[in-house]
Amino acid sequence: LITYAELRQKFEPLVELHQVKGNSEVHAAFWKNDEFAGFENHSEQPPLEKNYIRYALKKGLEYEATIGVNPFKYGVIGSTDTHNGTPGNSEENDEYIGNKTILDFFPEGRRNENWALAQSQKVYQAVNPGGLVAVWADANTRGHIYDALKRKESYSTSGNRIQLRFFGGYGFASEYFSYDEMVKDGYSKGVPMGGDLHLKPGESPEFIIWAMKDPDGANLDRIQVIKGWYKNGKLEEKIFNVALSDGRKTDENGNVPDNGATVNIKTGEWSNNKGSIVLKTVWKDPEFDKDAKAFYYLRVLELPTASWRLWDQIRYGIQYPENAELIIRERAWSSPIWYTP
Amino acid sequence: MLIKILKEPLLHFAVISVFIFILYDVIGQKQEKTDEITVTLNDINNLKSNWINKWGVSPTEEELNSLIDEHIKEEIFYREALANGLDDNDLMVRRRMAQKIEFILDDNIADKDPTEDDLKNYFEENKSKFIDGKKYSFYQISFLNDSVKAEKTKSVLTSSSDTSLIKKMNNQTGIPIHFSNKTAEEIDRVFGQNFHDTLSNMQLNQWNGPFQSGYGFHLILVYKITDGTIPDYESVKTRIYESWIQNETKQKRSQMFNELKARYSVKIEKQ
Repeated sequence: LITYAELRQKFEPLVELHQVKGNSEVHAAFWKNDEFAGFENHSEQPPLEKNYIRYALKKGLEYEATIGVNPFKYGVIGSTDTHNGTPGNSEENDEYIGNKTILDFFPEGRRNENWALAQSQKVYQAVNPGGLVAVWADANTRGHIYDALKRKESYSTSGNRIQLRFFGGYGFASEYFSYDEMVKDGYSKGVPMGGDLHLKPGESPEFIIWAMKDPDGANLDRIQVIKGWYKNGKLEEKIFNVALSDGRKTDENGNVPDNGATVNIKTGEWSNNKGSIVLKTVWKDPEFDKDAKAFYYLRVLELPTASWRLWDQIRYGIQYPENAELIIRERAWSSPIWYTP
Repeated sequence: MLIKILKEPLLHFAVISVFIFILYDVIGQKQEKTDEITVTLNDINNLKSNWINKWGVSPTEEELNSLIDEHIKEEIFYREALANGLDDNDLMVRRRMAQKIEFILDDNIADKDPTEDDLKNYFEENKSKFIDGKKYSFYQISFLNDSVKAEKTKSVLTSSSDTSLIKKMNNQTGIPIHFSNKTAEEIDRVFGQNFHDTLSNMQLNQWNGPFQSGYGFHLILVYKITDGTIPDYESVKTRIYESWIQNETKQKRSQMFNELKARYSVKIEKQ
């Protein structure tokens, strides 16, 4: 069993978190307290909690505690997995042409056709334009990119081109005004996304968190830290809203006030005057427990935007049924940083 | 009546056939002729190396035996198919055979590497193939949403002669301050769709803006725009080499095809 877990850790450095056939971070049926769960999930069979990545990351910590090896030590990637030769065409509004050529090339097909063999789902309920993977590599070569994937210095987006930085370490500045300084400190005093953070006695780890919007996308709404840990035989998790746009503050229950950003259903325009271009912070876990193995990953949310279904309605006069999702929240997820005492 | 029957050719035929059958039965070889299949050592080595290529390890004895069985099965089916003329006018077989001749011809092409002179001559004759699009060299400073600060900074930069000031500008965005010889596509990839339009008609060597991109406001100083120039030989040598090979292959291919074609007289029926 240990050998098997070791093999998995060695040969499965990454997991695909987002693609055209849905998102695998969390499912609304099991994460009722996560207000952003239920994003572009696609389940042909009844969903199982264990098939979602946040669960696997927690379960991996349990395995590490019980058998000594974490078989699910995953960095994350996103992809398209379309079947029409258009890799990287993952924007909602970029003349969406579906992903199965003849089945959903035209809007009529996207509204009317059944998705693959699943008679229960239509195309419009099942698919999105896919995700992207980004890596922080030393150079734009095949070798450097694969090296970055191997060390999990990667993140996934739901199709947009958000930029995301994440470092964990000790002795960072309390705030960075210069991007270059921030990155320099991140590498010299800490580890980047996908890395392992160890205990420094008497100190609690700090995290440099920075995101910049897609230049052709909506502004950023917030960055969340998602922490998972294993203690006393229980799998735990908590979501922290660590960076908020429009000068908002979390209330005493950790809730975030609405900033009133909207999408115009007639034109597809989103609120340009809300949200941030850059969100950043240096964050310290207020509930840090030096004895509990944990992981931390980031989730960045954009302001609401029009989904491809709404663009179909606006451009082609197609009407989707009432239950079709017209407004979505594009996002990005970093690979975790693991705290291993 | 009897004579008439004796003269009937059908009777002759029947009698002769009975005779032949008897004769065959008596002197004919009972054993049917068998075709021979030899799995040569060479075949076995091929099977092994294919397996190693695919799986990275040698096949076990059991695996090798089943590879050999599979090989024999394929050989038998192949021969039966040939014996029944299944290759005749089959589209797949036609294409595959034609393709094999193409491969053999291509093998004869690829063996010549160009000399330095070949490449230089080729470059001289085909310079237009290597012309680049417009390229922009510029400095930019990002201000996120703060257009007021952008205006203030512009007047500071414009009135100062201290060129090192640019490098002291605080950069929150991670977008580089200096861009050197970038194409329109490269610029748009950083700043968003069509942003290079902003640069194309700009006064050189002075601070312009603030301009708005998806990232907010930018001040920009363009110091060089190069118009579709012909690059120098050394900087595009790899591209010249690739293009030369491509061109050479294309020419040789059509030359060889024409030689083959000369052996045939082709007629096309009127439609």
